[in-house]
Amino acid sequence: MSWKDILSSSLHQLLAPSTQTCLTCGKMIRSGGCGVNGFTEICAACYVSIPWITVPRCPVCGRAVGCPDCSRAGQAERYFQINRSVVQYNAAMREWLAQYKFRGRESLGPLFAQMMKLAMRGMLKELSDRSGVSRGFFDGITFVPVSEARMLERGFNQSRTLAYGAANVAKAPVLELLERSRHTEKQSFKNRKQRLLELKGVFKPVPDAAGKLEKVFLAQPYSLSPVRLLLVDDVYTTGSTVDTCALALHDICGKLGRSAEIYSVTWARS
Amino acid sequence: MRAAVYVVRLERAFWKLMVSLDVGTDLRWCLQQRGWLVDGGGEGVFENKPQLERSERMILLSASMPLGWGVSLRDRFQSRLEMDRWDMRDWRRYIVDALKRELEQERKLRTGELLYEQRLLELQSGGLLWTSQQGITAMGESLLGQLGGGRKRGAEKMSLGIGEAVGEGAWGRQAYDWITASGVVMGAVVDRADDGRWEEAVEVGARRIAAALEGRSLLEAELQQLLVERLPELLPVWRSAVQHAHLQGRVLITAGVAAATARGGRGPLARPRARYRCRRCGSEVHSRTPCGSCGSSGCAYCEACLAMGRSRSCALLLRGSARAVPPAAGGTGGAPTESLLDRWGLSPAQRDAASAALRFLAQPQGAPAAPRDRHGPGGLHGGPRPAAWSIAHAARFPLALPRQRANSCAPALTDGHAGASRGGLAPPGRPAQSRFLLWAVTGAGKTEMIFPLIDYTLCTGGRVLVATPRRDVVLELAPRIGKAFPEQKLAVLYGGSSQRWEEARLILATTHQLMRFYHAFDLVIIDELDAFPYHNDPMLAFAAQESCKNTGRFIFLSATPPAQMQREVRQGEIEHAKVPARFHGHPLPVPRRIRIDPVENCLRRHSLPSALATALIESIQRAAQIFIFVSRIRHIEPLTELLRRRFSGIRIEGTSSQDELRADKVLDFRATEIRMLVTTTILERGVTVPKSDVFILDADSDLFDEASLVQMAGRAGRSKDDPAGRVWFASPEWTRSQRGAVRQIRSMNTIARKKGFLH
Repeated sequence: MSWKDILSSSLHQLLAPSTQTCLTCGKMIRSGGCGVNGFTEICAACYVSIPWITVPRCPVCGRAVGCPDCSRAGQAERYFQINRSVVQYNAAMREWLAQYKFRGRESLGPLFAQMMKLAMRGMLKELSDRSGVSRGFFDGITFVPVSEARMLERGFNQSRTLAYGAANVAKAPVLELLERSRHTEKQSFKNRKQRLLELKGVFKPVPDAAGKLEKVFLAQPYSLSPVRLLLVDDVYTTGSTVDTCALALHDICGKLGRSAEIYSVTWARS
Repeated sequence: MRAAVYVVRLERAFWKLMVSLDVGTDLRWCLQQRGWLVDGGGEGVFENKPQLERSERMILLSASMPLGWGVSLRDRFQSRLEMDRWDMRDWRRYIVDALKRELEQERKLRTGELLYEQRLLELQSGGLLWTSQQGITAMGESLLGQLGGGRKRGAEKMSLGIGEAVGEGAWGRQAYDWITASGVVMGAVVDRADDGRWEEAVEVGARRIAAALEGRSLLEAELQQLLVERLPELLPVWRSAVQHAHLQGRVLITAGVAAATARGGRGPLARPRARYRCRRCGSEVHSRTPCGSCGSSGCAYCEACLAMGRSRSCALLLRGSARAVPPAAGGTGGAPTESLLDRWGLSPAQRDAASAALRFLAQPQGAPAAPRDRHGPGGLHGGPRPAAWSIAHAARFPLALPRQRANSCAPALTDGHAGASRGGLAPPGRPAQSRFLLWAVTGAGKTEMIFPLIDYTLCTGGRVLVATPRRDVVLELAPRIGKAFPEQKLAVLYGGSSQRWEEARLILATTHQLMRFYHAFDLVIIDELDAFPYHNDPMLAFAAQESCKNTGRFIFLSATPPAQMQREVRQGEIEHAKVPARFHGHPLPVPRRIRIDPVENCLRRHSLPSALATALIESIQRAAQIFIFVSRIRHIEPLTELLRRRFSGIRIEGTSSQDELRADKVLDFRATEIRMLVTTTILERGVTVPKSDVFILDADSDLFDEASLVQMAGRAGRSKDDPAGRVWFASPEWTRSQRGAVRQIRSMNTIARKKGFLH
């Protein structure tokens, strides 16, 4: 055995200080990461660089800066109550999401879920301050679906992972209620009107959506208050995806004779 | 993705298990009794001529299961006598047993879930499709009918655009009628029910797809991109076409990530355990996630080569067999003669080495002078080993070999059936390619030396790859190679290259692109083999190994070969030629030493050591361009400031990997606008600036190894007009690396002097 072998042997590894690589920047860091708020996979520098939205400026869409869309007069009816987002969609966050969503680096999933948890805490606090309902605010959590072709190609739905992160804090069941009847082109290159037009009729209830919701209703059979559902997506840009899905969710609840309130949470707000 | 799995009983009394992307294609193949490819089983692996064997029964085991499972079933499959008596229940049991490990993992991941096994394996979808006595069964008929989709639908489709037909899904119910005499795509639709035309369409499609896949190793997504660019008419039928080519033995269907059994460590407690390896990059795979594409809860994916597209357990990986090149001796190329070297205008030192390399290329195959090492650069075991021995050994002791990454994966790479077929998909345990090292000092003119080698290989009908780790080097080399071979089509490949899917016999690529090739090249030249990211990346070494044909040759170029390879050179284990002198025939500048305090201290005191300042003044006075190398990026800014204050008359800049203006600054430095450039090892190679002096500060830093010291020193004295540039190692300590670098430079100068290469 040469010195080289000994130095790379497991015996030597035992004596070395324990390190790991930062999930997002790849640098060697001490194991346990920055450790802040349960973020054990990334380094302090990466954690600090996250552009959290702690205080949304727009009460409707949760944007961190002033929002012309929501304050515009005479705008169309909105089918969701409010949206809140975890981070601002800057270049770094865009890269993180691209790594996860398009490259398929699923090891980033837990990090995103952890970020969702943090944001959910803030959102729940805000909602309970406003409504006085402190526990079990949401009856169910659902997410924006991907098309079947996309699912076959990508193998996962990023919004679903995010939804499970949110559910962990909101303590509500994750319900798969919607499906995407056709695949739409990338949303990023279109304006609001084009998006709304294209999204028309894209989201449909899954075959047993009613059954899944009825189980939720059984938990509170005589309640007259509306069902509160939380819709999860990755990025909120113009709100058209969220709005279209919210409409579809209203439809499902309406057919079951219940009114609904749809809230939305997304990982990023652009 | 998911794929079908079936078995056929061949006339010579054994069974064969196949994976299919489109089982209808296989059934038609079977009905026509075209015969199945079978290994010849001759003496020794290389005489193993594939034969066609007719079948007498075809049984579908599953219409759809995770591709990775199907592939591992196939790769582990062994025919047994009792299989002749098996009914469907036995086959189902067999599959559940053969996939025990996968199902066990699945069970662990799906606590409390019921019936997932049935959903995943779809064994109830199986059944007898055809026998030679009774012909096609009802199930077989309905399978063909189902896939046919009906004429009416086909007719409806006629009027639709190509986008719609693509949207129809990869199963390709219709094929565009591209079989016109002129080869023009007509845009009409062939319905699957129209047997004759469909057959013809698939046949032609298979031929085209197999040609496009020659020597390639592509994931499904990459194939799709290739089709969109080169064969858009095949998009609706690609599954059938690929399957047809697979049956012909021209394309191997496999999974991106596969289990390779390996010992779980050393010592008495070691137990074999399943490890997953990426077949494309050879890396061990640890990440497993639920997969919406195959339905498994623990579909493994490779994080190492993610940047090249995701390789996973259920990802389709296609490998096309490359066309064999007629042996050099019989070809018109003939043995290389000295005259081959004349047209390139080489210096005596270059010419000497190039002719040694040519002789190496012309050696008959199978009789290399030096022992080879299948692991390429940095491989740990040397010594020749007869191929037959290692095969027998591997078969008998499956656990004994797979300690090395390449070995543990290689046997599984070949599909039993397609093995050795058409001179392409090689049998397991193929011998390593022979290797040759061109050890050329910095500024020797390596690029010119490879021209005659490329020329020779192209003339003998071979395919050539020139690979280099860095993209900027690729972009710099491209015009030079293009100019040297104007009549040859050159494909230049790098991330984002527009030529990605082009066909060419001469390819220039970054080392990452090698992952997209499989047994494709007769000559692989790897430039700067010790440079980042190729050096110390087993993934890229694996990719290089895989891209070369069994009979192909490797030529490595380096001014500073890695320690392991230098050792092999000393022990005579690798053929090599040294180019000890620069093209201009002047000796390499030998580094001199200045003893100064660490840069950190100087910066704290805001003072430039006087010894360093004196040397810098001398360089400024002789009007040299001055490289100042530091070990840390954070030193660049303050040091530049310090120098600017001291030498206010000239422009001084700093640059690093984090500098967006780097390229501009280097240009300005070359143009003598900037006179002094403070930088890191980022500029240690690939930069030629006439009349330059080199100062390496903190030369004792452990971030500077021998190789990078030699490279940095190599920036000086490269031009004919100023061959005697000056190199300074400035540091408090005199380290082993510095001593080694000086020794290496001196010994090259000595060799050059002895051989008379110096003026």
